[in-house]
Amino acid sequence: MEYFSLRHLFLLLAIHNNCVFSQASSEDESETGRYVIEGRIFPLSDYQTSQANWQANTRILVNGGEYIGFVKKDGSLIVHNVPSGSYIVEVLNPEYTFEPVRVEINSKGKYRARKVNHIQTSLVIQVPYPLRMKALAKTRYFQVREQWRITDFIFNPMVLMMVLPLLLVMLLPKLMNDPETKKEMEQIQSLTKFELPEMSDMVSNFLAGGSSQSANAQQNKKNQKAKKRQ
Amino acid sequence: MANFRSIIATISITIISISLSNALYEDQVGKFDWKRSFIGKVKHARFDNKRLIVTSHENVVASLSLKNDQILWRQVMENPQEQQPLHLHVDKDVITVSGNRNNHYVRGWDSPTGSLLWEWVIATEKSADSFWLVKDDTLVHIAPFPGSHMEVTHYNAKTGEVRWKTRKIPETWVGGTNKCAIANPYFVCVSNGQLFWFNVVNSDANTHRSQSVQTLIGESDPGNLHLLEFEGPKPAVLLVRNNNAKVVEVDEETAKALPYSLISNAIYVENAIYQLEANLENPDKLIKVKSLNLLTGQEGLSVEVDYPLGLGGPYIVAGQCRGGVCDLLLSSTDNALTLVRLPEGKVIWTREEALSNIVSVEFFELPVSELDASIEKEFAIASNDVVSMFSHRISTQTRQLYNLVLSGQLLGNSGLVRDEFGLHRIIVVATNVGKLFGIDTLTGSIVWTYRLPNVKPFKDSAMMLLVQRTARYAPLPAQCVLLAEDANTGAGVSFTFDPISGMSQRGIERLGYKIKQAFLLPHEDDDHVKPIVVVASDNAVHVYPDEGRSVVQKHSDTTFLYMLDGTIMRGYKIKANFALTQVWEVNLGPSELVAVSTRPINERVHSQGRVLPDRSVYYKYVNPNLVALATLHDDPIHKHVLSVYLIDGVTGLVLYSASHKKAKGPVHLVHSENWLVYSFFNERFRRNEIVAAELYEGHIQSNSTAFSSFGVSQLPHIQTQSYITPANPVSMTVTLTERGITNKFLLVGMSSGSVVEIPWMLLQPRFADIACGPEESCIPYMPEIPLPAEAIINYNQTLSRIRRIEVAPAKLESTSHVLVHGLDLFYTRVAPSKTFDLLKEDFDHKLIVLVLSGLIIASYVTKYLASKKTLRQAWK
Repeated sequence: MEYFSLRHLFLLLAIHNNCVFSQASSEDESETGRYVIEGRIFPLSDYQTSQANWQANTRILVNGGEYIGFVKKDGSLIVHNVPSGSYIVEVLNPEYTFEPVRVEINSKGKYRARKVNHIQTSLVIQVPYPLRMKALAKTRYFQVREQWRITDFIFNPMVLMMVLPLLLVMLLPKLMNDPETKKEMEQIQSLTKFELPEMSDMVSNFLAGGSSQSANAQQNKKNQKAKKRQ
Repeated sequence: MANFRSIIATISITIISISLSNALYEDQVGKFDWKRSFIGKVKHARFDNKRLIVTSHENVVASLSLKNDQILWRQVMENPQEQQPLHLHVDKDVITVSGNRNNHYVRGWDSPTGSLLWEWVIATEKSADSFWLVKDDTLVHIAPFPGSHMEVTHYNAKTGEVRWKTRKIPETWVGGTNKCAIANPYFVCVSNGQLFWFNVVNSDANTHRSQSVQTLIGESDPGNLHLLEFEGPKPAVLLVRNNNAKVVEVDEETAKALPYSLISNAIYVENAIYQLEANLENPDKLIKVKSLNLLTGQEGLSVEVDYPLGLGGPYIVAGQCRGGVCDLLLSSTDNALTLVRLPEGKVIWTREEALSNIVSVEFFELPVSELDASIEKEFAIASNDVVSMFSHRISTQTRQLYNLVLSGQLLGNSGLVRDEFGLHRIIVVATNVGKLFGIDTLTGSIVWTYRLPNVKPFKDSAMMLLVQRTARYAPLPAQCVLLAEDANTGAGVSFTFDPISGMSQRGIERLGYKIKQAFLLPHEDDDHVKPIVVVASDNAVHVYPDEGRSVVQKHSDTTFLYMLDGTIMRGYKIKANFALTQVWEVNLGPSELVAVSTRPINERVHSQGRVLPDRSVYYKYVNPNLVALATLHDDPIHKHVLSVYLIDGVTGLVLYSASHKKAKGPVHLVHSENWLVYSFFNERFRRNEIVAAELYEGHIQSNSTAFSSFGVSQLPHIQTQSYITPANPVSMTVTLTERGITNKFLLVGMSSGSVVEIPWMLLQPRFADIACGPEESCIPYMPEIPLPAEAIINYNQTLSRIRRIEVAPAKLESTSHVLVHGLDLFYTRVAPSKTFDLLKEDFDHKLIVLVLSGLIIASYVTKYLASKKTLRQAWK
């Protein structure tokens, strides 16, 4: 309902202004009924410093390229030869994002600018005309790489694998000074005790190897396999 | 409620950003992508000290560097189909006039930076091929109306303020474009054997002057005359008669022809006239530049130009001399642009502007390296001699080892050799002017070019590149055929070539009939060549190569084809005697066909169904013969109605149709696997919408081994869903991978110059009766498709006028190649499911080696310590 009343108001305004308007804009509104969309671009503060030549890299697209405009040195934009209708005005810059605006020009040459809402198309949130397009933010095209942090390194599974057993080996025996547990530990150790052959033995056995010490060689092979599994 | 919805929206967006974010890292910029920018065929060019200002037939104004082929700046103006640059004036600032016959844009550009200084428009009621002239800061617009009058208007070039109101000058001698020319400040025309000129700038002169052409050129029969512009020290024009041109200088009183003749393409640069001549003496340097003295016509220097061989015939566009060194800008019939420096005759740079208008693209696998090929050869040589085979094996393997040890690095980069993952490819590109290019995917450099004279695309939009044999069958080379139209007769042209080297054994073959339809047979002959079947306009069937006829005959009972004639689609069958019989016909009614799409030939569907939450399988309807079509027709109530059809190309069965009222183009269709996606503009809500439709067979699969169009027991179930896109799609395609395991991404080129990847998961129609949540790996429906900046695959490299996006699978399952073409050329690789089959880039090889060796050392140390300890304990 609000929308309708607003619309009526607009019509009234348009009629009211008509006599003044037609005189004032007789030049724009030539016989062909072509209008001009005007506005200004307000870049972010770091914008001009980072991009010395931002005006040349910025383009205005009306309805996705049906009409186009360029940006002058002072940031003003102008799109010529637009007949009456409803248009989406987009500002394109490779580095910064701008919010598009819908500009409506009625057959009498009255302008209205509003926010683009594709879902609720009848919702009108007016924005000033001539357009004032502000850069929203710097466009983020890239994912941020994870930074190298010491905690990441420490909690890395491989580092944990190396450090934790070391801690266990070094610290556990010292923690267990209790004689009874020591005894138990010794028992367990004696149970699990098995001799790994010396590296030098292995090599000499292997080199000396052959048929004479086939049993030994087999054992060596087994050991090697065991090592591989490590 | 609103709160709840917003929560859902935020949750789903976070889900998307977590599960589907696939953006580049900043340090990956340029690692595997490249971009080439073009300007199109040059129309006007002016030198401006250290730079070159040009306008082109693509309605582009740009500045080029004289040192290298770089574009310093480029401004893309309105659609070139509707508007063209009409005038270029370079003084302190650059002034361009562009437009159509009755609407003109006058723009001023800052020459070093390319930013706009001013813009104003001229709209005229009557349309005319206007002439333009800039004197000081006055722009003179001359609109000739042949045979009756001309209208002359003076404007302030910067503001558009009218300095002198439109004057109607009734002159019957005024002619059209090539009968008149500007000789600042005069407007000169030739009419009825008389030369007329009129001062359009000066206010005093109000009458024309005239002189008979006979007195100027001294011949009684003036013949067919026309005028060309000529920028000399004095106002002058080139009077051309039968390819023979004379400079005619004009002043207030008289006109005078200079006493020598030129060819029509001659320009004046600093007291001399330069023109090009064919050089017949030296076969390596085919072009010669000759200079003539302006006043006497005496021949000055004559320089042989080191003109690149692959380029077409050149003509001079502009020139500049500075301190004894002259630069000439040459444009050629294949749209290439060359800068030649005199007096050496050296070519400074060449730009292949033909690449600004690509009509067909194909990706090619590279052949295996010679070494690998020699191993293959072992099996090719069918010798049963064990000793020779063994020695061959040993020798190749030693060579392999030798290469690996000594030149392991070199091997990977030495030329065009297949790599392990199929990431290095050759892109073969056919352009509008009939020039073929082979482009390396790694660097974007041009590997080979081949110029086909007098060739144009079918209906001015497409040529057919058909791959008969890939490089897989070493030692047989790859083979590819280009089908196009003869520019003069419209008859078919075929060109068979090796896509890797660009060599052709047979050259261009003019077929002598018009091509109506052509396709590649999916079956190979004995040489692994897939035959091409071409249907002529009289429905005669031709097969290339001839050996393929037996293959066609063999498979004739399973070969069907369709042809589109307006909106009537007809299905045919090829009989064993090479005659076509019509099988079916579908008439889509009086409408305009706006889009056609079929599934990519090499697409594979990996998963045959979708698992529902109750763990039952819902089978996909995967029909490789489906053709998707879209038509638009006018409607008195709904303005335009868009209709979309899915038709089986073998039986003509319409499987699905849908219509949208108040819809408008551009319509883009993408059909892949068991789904269809199309986009259109909804005029009612003034927004772009995308619709996804998915076809299912149901819970029972009719035939799990092979699909037959004739075996239809029931129509597929169709799920649809539509979405809003906040941008304007100009091109759409879908990613393609080797085995189809990887997720699908829709690649959408936007009018804003970005190419966005949209996961198919976002568009896939949701089942109405099944809950959608993360546990079902389903994203809740959102009406508006989010297009985050991270999804832009070309990041900040804006691409102008995207025409098409081409994709091809890499050997690596996760990756597909993407080439975006339009005014710019952009290549990249996309991995829709991330590169799951590759180690991460930041995978730390050193760390893993360190950890492993650390563990080994530690185990030995502890063992030593332990044995020492047990020994000590034993002694206790």
